[in-house]
Amino acid sequence: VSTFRLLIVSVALAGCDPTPVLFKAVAVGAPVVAAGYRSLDAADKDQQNAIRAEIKDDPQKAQADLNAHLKRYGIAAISLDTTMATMQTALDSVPALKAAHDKKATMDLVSTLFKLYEDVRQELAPLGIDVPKVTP
Amino acid sequence: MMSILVELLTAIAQAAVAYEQANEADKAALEGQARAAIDALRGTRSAAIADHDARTAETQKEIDDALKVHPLGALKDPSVP
Repeated sequence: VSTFRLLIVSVALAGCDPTPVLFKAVAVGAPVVAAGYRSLDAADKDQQNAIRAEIKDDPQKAQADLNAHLKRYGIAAISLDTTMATMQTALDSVPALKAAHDKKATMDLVSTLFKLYEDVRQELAPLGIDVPKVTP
Repeated sequence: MMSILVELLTAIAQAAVAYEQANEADKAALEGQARAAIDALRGTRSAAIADHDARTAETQKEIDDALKVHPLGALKDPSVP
């Protein structure tokens, strides 16, 4: 019986599941991406207020400005949506990663998430959208 | 001597099993935390997009109304700056 117990523990310790690191990567990234959406919303509000202010004097210019703004908004929203979708995919892939005992794939996914957080931060900064920095 | 060694290894094994079980509880807590964070993120996104859609509809209506009464509104293509 003792030998059997030893065998179980050896298997458990050798398995050393890396998925908690993945959970942590999602947990720390989600509030940051949420802050990005809030910043996007605040920028949208400011821009649309500015556009409304010019409607009376020049509705054609207001329309052109709105079109340009919506284009920029769409680009920023897609970046944030892509990040969120990748986070969800990472969570959804946990059972498969656990079943495969694929530590490398799990850690690659964690690296991808942190790279994505930094990419979206740098991509949106020029558009005036503030995504805080995530530190691992 | 052999039985002492087996007992010692058994004690270590039991401690390791207890550690692994505690670790499983931590993992489950972390997973719950990650899923809750994603749910909160979805809520934030939905609210932001809904605000944007409502705001845009309102701005567009104001522009459309202004174009109807503006002297050049009927003549100019709004998509041309």
